[in-house]
Amino acid sequence: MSTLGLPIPYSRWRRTVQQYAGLVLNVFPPFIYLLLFFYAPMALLFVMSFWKSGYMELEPAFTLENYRAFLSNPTYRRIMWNTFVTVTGVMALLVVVGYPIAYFLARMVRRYDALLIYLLIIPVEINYLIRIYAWKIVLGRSGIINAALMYLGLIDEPLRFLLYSRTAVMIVLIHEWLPYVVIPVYVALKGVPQEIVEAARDLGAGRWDVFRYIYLPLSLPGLFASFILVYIPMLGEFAIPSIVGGPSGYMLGNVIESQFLAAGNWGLGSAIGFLLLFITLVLVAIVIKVTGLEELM
Amino acid sequence: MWQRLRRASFWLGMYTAMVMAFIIYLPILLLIVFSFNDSKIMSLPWNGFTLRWYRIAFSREDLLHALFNSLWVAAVVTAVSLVLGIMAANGMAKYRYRGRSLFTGYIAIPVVMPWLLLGISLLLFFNVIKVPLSLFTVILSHISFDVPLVAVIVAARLHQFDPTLEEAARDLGAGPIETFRLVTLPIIAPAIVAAGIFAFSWSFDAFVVTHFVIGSQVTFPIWVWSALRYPKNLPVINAVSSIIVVVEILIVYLGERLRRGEGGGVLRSND
Repeated sequence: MSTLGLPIPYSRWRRTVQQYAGLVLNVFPPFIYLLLFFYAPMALLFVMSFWKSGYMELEPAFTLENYRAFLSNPTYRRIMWNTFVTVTGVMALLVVVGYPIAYFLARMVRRYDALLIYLLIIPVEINYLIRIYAWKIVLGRSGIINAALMYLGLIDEPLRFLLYSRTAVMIVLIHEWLPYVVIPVYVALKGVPQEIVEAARDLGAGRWDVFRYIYLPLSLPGLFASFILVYIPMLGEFAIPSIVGGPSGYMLGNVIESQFLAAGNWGLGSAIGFLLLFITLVLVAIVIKVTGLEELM
Repeated sequence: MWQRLRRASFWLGMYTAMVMAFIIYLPILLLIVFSFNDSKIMSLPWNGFTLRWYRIAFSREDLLHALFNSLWVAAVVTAVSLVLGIMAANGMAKYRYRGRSLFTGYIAIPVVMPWLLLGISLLLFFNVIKVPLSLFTVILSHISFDVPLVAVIVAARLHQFDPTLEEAARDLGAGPIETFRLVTLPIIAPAIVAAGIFAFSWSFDAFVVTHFVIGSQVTFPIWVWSALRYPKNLPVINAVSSIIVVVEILIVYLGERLRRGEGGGVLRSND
């Protein structure tokens, strides 16, 4: 502060006080708001998952009944398993489909990559229900795909597994989340300094070596970021399976939704919700620990 | 070598174009095309061009009411979220203090939380504190996911901001409020406008959270959700959706331009 050994002038001191006041004034309101309308409700979800359930209400008496009811029910267990299989499969497909696109945009497009990224972002901002519903026009029994295949004479009867199936859920999930995989990986790959690549080339590395030893490791933070951004929200999906999933596409999110809005068993709904929250937090913690992502934030 | 590279980039380019066309854009374009099809079912064959569905859409009062509700809810949510979000962004990026990364995590966590969990926990919460569900609870709920969104966008801009500019203003005698108004605000203005646009569109489009906390009221996404159950509504949904898609593309275009900081000229031309 006082580099010349002079006493700190009054104006500086006053400014420090003002800085602290500013900090408190800025931090406090959003802190309180989220405490009230985000963290308190989340805590309540946890507490109420141990409460006895009546119809559309809960009684404050400790019980493990909600968890037992969920875990002992083979239908719920199957749906939970299906949800994880679907979401994990979609995540893998997203990486396989999205990585080459991110690579292309980051390293092979000279001038128009920002425009192409913009083209990826636009659909994300279009109403979510509308986009899910739009897939019915593509996948339906008399939808575009079936019409095209029948016109070409490749099939005689419309393919039924396209809509109201797990296939449909997976296709729409890929549509919904692809930009969230491409963009973080694109940002990571875009940041790889050209000199490193050239140095490797000069030292005799082939294109595969450059990818394996430079691009891939340097894009891992982007991949982990997209994992957090995509895998976790996908676990809670319920609108996509309700609109295009049919009975075989049913996911954990549908069970939770129906417990709250149709069956009225809030205790069970809270227990499933909390299990999902718990798994979410564990996954985030693992990813952050394993990757040292916190240093990037 | 050179030729091989060119070939790889050509094929990757083709691949990117195909994925964008078929996985990202095909359903949206078909939705718009079929909104002009003169048929009650949205599939081939093409029965001729019509504007009938648009006419019906504009005469449906329940739909107009829902759109109106969504607009004013989003307006209130955006205003409050901007104030709280800018404060949070200041706490995340402007000051240096112990616990800053903790605060950043505290603000950012809601961004990755599944909306379903936010929806059910808010439903429980409003039930416990005995606030009846209405558009008011919808507004309170939307703010809690829009504040982190605004905070993250504005903080990203503040991180690039040179703090010595503010110190210089202070050294030249400006008070904290003057400094914010004359130095900080003009620099972060594009980020604020962009954050406002995104916050508005998140609130306007929010279905999952709204679904749980709205009670018997209707916003646009809730209207779509219930209309989807009746096949006779489908062409009307197509028409409304097409209008909204076009409007949203324009809005996002504007937001993106401003977020990238190219909009400085636009803002300046107004004063």
